Amino acid sequence: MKTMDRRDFLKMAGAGAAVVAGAAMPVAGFFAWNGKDILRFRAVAGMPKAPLPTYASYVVEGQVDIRARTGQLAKSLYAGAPEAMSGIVFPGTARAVRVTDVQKVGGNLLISGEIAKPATLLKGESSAFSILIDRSAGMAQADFLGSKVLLRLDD
Amino acid sequence: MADHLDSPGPIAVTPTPGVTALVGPPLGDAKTDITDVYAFLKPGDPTKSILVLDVNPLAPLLANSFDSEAIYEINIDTKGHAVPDLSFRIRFSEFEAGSQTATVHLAIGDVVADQVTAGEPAIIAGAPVSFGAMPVITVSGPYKFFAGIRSDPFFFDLFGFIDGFNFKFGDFFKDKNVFGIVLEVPNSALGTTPHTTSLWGRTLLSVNGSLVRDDRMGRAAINTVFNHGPDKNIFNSIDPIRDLTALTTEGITFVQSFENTLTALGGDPGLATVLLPDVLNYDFSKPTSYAALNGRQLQDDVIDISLGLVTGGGLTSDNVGPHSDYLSDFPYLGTPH
Repeated sequence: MKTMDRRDFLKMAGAGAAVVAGAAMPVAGFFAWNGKDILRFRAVAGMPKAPLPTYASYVVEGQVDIRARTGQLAKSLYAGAPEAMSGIVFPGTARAVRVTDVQKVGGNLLISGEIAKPATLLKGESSAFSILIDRSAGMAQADFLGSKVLLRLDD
Repeated sequence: MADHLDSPGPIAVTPTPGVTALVGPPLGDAKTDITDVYAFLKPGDPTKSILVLDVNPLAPLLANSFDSEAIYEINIDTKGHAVPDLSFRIRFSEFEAGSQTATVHLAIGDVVADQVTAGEPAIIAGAPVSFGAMPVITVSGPYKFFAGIRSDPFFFDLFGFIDGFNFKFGDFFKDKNVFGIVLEVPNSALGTTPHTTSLWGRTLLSVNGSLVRDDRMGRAAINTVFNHGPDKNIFNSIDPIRDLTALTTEGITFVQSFENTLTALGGDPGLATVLLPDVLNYDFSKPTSYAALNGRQLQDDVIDISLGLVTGGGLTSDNVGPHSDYLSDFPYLGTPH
């Protein structure tokens, strides 16, 4: 599929058709601290799982303030496997998540939040969202339409 | 998702020996992304056939016209050798001021392999592309032609597939559109040996003055369900005759790779040599039935049929059925949403 850059995305979003995003655009430093309290990250999982070929990429990304326990996340399903991800978001899968809590659990970070527009939820998709980030393993675990999914943290 | 939004994608493939796999931008454009191929007897007149090549998933969101630099092919093998003996080749003018026209050539014999235009008779010329709700139909001699935006006839619980065969989300495609190319042809134009006839769709792009294979499709979802990563693009770049011998990036044949997937899903590995070469068998002397491996109608539940086969009966349905917007007459594809 054709890859679109962020400018294309903004153009389309402005036209009310926010289905094409800039995920395929390389961005340096997905996982980064801004000061000691602000964490930015992106986690990706190929879907579906083996033995089926990977067809899509589940992406959770955003920024949280660990001290204030606030932040904004976005989760989306992109066409293409992680190593060949397009900039195309499957219609009906883009979600904005308002972070409601951030907890340190051992060496991990548990981020909880709520879907901003619960009316858009798919069957089996909860309005509550959480993601457990294990920086040492470079992995995260999050809900995908009711199932737990392991995601890889992008550096 | 018969092949919607699947490869070709924006990824470069290291060609394996003997495989010319030029992929990466500008390949992977929605305009030439084949979503489905259909072939069925004309309702009420079994002396004619309807051939459908759908492209451009989610239209018009990703693309609002056909590619004027591309060739859209419906290839016909009349001898059961996975080589095209005939080819309906559709080309489009540049999209200007909201309009575009199509020309259809019928390549026969040696020119099919050469993929050249010289000498081919045009069976349709200057046919307007439809960009609105009303289909613009062009009639020329024994042929009818339509090209333009229509309701996507495919039905599938896509999110259920992505969630690992957890089918509970409903039909993703019920409100989606595609760009359809529909031909009505006399069966006599498809040769005289229906029992060995098959077909497949192919898109070719012009890259630096050369034609490059972009996408191809015979049966539904073959590339999507069986091929992994860059193998998808390799599969698209080869012709069906090479399906049985070409190698994947793992160094095994596509047949072996299919056998492995079938075994893992609980299916019969022997099906690999039924599914390959990836062509749509079409014996136009018999009723059309995807379940009988003979053509494909719009309403055929190809996913239910395929699920039962590839899982050895472990799964039999994605719990969605045909759309209700198919037209009873040409071009058969429903009004766009």
